[in-house]
Amino acid sequence: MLEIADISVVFGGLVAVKELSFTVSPGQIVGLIGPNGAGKTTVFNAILAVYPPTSGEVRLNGRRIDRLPTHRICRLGIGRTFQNIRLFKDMSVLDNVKVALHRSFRYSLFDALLRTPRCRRQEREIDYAARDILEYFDLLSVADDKASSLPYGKQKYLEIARAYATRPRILLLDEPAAGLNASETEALMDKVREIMADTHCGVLLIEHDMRLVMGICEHIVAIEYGAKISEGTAEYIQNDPKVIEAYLGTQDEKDAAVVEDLAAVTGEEE
Amino acid sequence: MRKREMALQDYTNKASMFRWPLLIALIAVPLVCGWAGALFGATTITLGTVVEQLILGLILGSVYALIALGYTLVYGVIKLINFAHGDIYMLGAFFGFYLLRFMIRWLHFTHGVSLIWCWIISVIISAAVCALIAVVMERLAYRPLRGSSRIAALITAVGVSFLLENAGIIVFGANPKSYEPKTLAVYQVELAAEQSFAAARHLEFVETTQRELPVRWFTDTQYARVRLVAKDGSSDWSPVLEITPDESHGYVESPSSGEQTGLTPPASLGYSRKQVGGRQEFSLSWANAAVDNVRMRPVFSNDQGEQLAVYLPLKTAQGHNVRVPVFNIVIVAVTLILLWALNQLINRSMFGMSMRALSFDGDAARLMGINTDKVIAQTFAIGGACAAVAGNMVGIYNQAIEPLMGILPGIKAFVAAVVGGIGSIPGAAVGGMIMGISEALVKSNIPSDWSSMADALAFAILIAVLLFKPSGIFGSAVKEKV
Amino acid sequence: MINPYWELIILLCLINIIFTVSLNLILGYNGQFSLGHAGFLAIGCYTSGALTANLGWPLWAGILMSIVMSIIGAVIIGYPCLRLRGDYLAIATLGFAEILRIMANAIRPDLFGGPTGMQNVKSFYKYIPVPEPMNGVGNLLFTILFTLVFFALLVWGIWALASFLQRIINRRLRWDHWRWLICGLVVLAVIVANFACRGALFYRIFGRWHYETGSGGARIIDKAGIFHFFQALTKDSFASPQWAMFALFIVVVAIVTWMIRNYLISVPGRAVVAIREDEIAATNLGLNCTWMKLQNFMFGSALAGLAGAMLAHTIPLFKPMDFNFFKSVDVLLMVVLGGMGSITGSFVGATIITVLLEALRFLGDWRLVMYSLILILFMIFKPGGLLGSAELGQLIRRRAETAIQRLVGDDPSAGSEARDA
Repeated sequence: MLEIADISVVFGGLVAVKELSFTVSPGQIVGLIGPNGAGKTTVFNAILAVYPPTSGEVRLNGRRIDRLPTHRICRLGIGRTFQNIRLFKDMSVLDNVKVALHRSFRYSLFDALLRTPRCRRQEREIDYAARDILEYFDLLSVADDKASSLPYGKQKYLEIARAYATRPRILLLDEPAAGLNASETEALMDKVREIMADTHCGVLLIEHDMRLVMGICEHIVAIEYGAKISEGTAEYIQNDPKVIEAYLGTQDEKDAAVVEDLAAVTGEEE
Repeated sequence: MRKREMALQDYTNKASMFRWPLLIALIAVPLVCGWAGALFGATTITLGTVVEQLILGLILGSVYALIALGYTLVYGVIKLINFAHGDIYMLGAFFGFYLLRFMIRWLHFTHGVSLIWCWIISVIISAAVCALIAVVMERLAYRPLRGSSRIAALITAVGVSFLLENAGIIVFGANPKSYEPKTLAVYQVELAAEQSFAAARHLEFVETTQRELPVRWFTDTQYARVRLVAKDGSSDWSPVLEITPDESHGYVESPSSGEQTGLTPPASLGYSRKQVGGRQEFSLSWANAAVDNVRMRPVFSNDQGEQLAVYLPLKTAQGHNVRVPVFNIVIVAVTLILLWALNQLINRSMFGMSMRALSFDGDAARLMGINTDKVIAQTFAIGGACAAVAGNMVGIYNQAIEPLMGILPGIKAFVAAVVGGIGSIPGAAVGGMIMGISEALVKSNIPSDWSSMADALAFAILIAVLLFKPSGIFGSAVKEKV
Repeated sequence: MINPYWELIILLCLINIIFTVSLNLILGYNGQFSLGHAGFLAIGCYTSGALTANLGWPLWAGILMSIVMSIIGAVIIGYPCLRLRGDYLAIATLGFAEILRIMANAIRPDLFGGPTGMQNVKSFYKYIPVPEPMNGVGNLLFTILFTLVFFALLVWGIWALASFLQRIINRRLRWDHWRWLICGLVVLAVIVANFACRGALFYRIFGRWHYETGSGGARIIDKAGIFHFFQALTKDSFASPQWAMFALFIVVVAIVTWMIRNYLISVPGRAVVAIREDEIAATNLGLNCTWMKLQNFMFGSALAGLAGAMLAHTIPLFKPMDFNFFKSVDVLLMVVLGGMGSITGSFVGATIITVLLEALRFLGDWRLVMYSLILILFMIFKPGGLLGSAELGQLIRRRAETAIQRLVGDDPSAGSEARDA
């Protein structure tokens, strides 16, 4: 269970995230929505201490993690993908996944240098595991290709596969469906559900595609200017005036504008 | 938008809580180390000694600050350590050297323009030339690599640096060029009223290229001839200079010189006559084709050729007053003025704003209609000019220049930029001063056979800053976009 | 037997290969810029030299200590710089190397020789106990080996030049066989030139059969040339255990290469490449980037220290000026020329530059200007170097496959693909 308690992130004088709190439980998909520049990605970066939160706490299964370095947080079981795909472009697809599997190795540098039987054995295991993961994500046929040569959709899958390989308990997905068409998005979301079913991990999802978010997420957190404006089920969020206001502007302003327009039109007629 | 504004403010002048402890530590540690060393050396430390060392530090610091400025601006704009910057500084020193020689021969000896003006003109020209070189360098070597990896650009920068150094060795020679000649021929002037030099008056040029002559020597004759003869007979060219009463100046030049072996003969001999406060002055001067042998008078000197200096009412350990040459004051003053002006330029002008925008987000700046190529070229030009000014001043201060003189000051200046916070002009100034002062203190207080180890200090400072506050004194921690 | 001068150059080539590979690990595979790599060479050289020559340590301890000292040096600069992203390492290593040079000049002249350097370091020759009768055969074998390598490089060089020219000519005048024509012309030109100067070209390479007989057998008196086949079974050859030096160095290079290959196909090696590709992504996968970078830097520096230790026992004299900024740029050039991220590329780069350094000595300072131009032009026009990030074996295999396919004639498109690669 990932608990985010009152975290704030401040850059210089700018408050990017303000006293935000929510939780993600295993087996639950939580959606994080908000207009552009609301600070959604910053929340991810704060959870992983890429930008450590200025105040507040992040806890994973009760253990406080916000003062740990990023790689330790990841090892404790948080995997993430990036908004703009960040693959190891010049490495093969297989190697991309193998890099993420580094935790399963238990041999020293000297074993590696001298290629001792211990190293060989474990390398073989890593290779099998990586191929298993690729098969799971339907990427085995392109295992030896360069990551940069994959089509966009497959790159998205590879990134999730890479995060999956770190065996996360909580998976953070940053706009996984951006740039995919409807059927691809559907397939991707099925995959995410499948991952959840198989590993019983929790998912925190940033997404702009409202239909997708409403369809898949049991619980949604809406933020604007870094602060939480609403939280609840998809239905509740859809009908929350604050959320509508954040996305569409104030209803009153609109009404007023319409009235003025009408008045102007009628005035001319008279 | 709001974020960007905040960040821009942050970039320029945001005080950081950790600034002062770091500053104090950086100043105090070398101070304590330096003077502790002096205590073990059992020399007495007086206030005068301290002031002397601090002034030396200020001078070194000014030079580092001026070079660091180029690093910091270029790094801010295109995130590239311009390794060739130290070599631009070297080129500036060489251009200044040759230009000053030329100006002295052309303006000072023959037209009587004062040395200070000669110096100022040569500094300005060499700064302009170096700015041009920096721009050309950017255009030819760095711009084609704008889109490729950082490492590629960095390697190219090393290549350019290496190219300038080796080209410098080929063009200028590997040996240090000295403003002070090592051996000076003693020339004798023979002055005669008639055709023959039989009854000539004799006077000597010893370690000087200019002499005042008593005017009465010329009052009884309308027509004089002067001949220059090397006393040891090494010169086989004796120019004869006609001195006519109605001309204020005149000179004679050697047709082709420098071919002879041994000591090179004087290449030109000139006289000038001028009216100073109702009194006529007559001076005779010579210049040499082999510029290395021209005796350079201190730029800021009195009529006797002695360096102008200020004496402070403080005693050094040796018991004499602290002497501060005017030129040293000029170094510090020029640096401060340049730094202030640039800070104004960056913070107040349109150019400065485009530059800051570019350093914050290049793509966004391009979309806002900023001509990024032009701004980058201008940044390089400013950096190059500042380095050239520094090179000019160091040349005269050290009295010697060489093609590899740029490497170590280059490294130290980069460290200064990091100490001050890379990307910030006040940072470059403060970082430079810290580097200079601590180096001066350590250098003058550790035993002399270890003095070369003072160079290691810059390195130690760099390591310390990177460990404890990598963003430097004035810098804000730059967040990489994720 | 090989001319002692060229023997030294070949040994330097082998040392430079290790040195280059060590920088390639840091620069090519990890994307970190160590600009003062000569500093680590100096550490290795001076540690082993001073310990064995002036403090009477055994050779193995000297070499081991030089590796250890390099690692310590790597930690001292590596840790503060590698914690951060950015190019601090470049300037810090550059400063480090300069300071080491200054220290070697100033500190303990009794130990390190001061500015004039160390001359009393014992060569590997003194440590190698070889029974004399083996020398003749050994030297002959290695002469044959290096002759083959020499001609392979020569042929490859001519071929590469011809291919390059073909590409240029083809823009104007399309004909697929320009390169054969050019190769033929070059070979013809060499033969004609050799005739024209009455075999001098041949003699410059293979030496001349001028000998005198006296007590103790025949003795070659004409020392010109590189590969002295004629001298193979003379007294000089039997007296010189140079083949053992070659064998030793080749074995060391082979072991180092094998270890690096093992490293690169295991977890730490992959992590290091991943960090080069995208450090933030690597961190977010749970890699301790600082430690991985540092470990890689330590490994690279240790190899540079090893190269330094070998250098100390190979060259007759070394001095602080041998380890200046220029040396660091030399090795950078070797890496860039061969291809960043290619081990065999480093072999090629190190060999070419070391030989060029000697062959172009007559150019004087212009040589260095030329090098810097090569460096800049390569970065602008061919940033991958000669081999890119591929290994020689892969390239040859790919070429061979294309050639076979072309012979069989089933797929003409495969040819263009390989050419592009």
